[in-house]
Amino acid sequence: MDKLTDEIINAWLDGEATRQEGERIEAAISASPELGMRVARLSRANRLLGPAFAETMSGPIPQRFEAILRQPRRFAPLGSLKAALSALLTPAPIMAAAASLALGVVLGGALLAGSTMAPGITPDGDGRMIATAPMATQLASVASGVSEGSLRVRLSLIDEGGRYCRQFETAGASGLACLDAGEWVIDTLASGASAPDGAYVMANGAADPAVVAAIERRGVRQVLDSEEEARAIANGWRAPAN
Amino acid sequence: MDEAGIRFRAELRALIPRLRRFGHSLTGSVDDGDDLVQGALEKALLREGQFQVGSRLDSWMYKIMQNAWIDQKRSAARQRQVITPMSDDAVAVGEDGRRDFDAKISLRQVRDAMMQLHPDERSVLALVSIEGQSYREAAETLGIPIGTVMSRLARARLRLVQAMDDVDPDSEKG
Repeated sequence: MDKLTDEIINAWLDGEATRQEGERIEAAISASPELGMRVARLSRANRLLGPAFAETMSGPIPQRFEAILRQPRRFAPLGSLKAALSALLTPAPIMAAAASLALGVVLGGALLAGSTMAPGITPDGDGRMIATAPMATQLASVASGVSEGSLRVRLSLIDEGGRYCRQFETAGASGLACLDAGEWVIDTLASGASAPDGAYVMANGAADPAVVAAIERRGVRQVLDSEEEARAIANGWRAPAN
Repeated sequence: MDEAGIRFRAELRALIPRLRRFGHSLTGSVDDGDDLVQGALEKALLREGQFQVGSRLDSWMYKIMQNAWIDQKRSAARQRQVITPMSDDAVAVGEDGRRDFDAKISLRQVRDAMMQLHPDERSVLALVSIEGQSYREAAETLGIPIGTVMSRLARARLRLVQAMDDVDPDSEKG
């Protein structure tokens, strides 16, 4: 007969043992006071855990949680996000979108030539767009949901590559900036108003599809909550843990 | 907000007491546990579309909290942080005044004993013994085989018993 291991005894205590195992354990306990004591001690330790951590099970739900649940959606559910993205990638809707949104998506410095540069953005030698003061300072210091000057940050995240990124809006444009070697590099800048067509508007009517596409492309490892963001701001956006 | 969104939020809201308990049992502090709950709620709302209707929302939330907690533990280990001391609220647990084992053990001591466990063992114990998950559910929540759930659970309970004996020297040793 197999030995009665602690695993089997625990499974019995948790109601996960087979009937056969249960019968063996009961018989063994009757035959051995020592085993009975061992089981009683395991059972006692187990039994006290629930009461030891019961503090949060009664009383009202803290306001901080109610507030989160009342927030509007930041993103549409994935289904409609995908629909919006695929619509953008289909020629006809792109034309429609471009017409209705006055969508001016700028990806990288090469496409920027000839277009109006937003204030606070300067191309570097590699053709990347780099945020400069005051925008760079604002990107590093403004909490999500707070406006400073003409800049408003909507969301902070860590992308799949482990870089901090911030989704922002500025006068007449919205975009995504990601920290690279101490500089906020503008990944995407989209000009234009919110879309009139519901399919293109994120649930809170804010995020530009091009910006959402950029976030999708980079991948999201983690969206920072307000406390994580505050810590990142406080420690100067030091590289996130891998 | 559409009906699915409203229902999703209502289900999340109903889970909050249990999520707080899970956070408390992982971190040893209601406040630290609540921080985990807050992060998990924010992530859940952000990933709402990824939740498979019909699957267990509680398991999904436990998993988000567990992952966030392990990440925290890793960075805390790097910073050599000390576990936050718990409030002193010793309550004796003798249900009927008999001189039984339990009267000598305060709930605070149970919590202290829990905090002495390895994080992996603590997670399994919290899910099975406190949250009432089956072995299969705990295995799915933690992304480990059932056999690992069983061995971690056995180690965790043994250590828990030993830690309680340490604060309860009169208890009869088996």
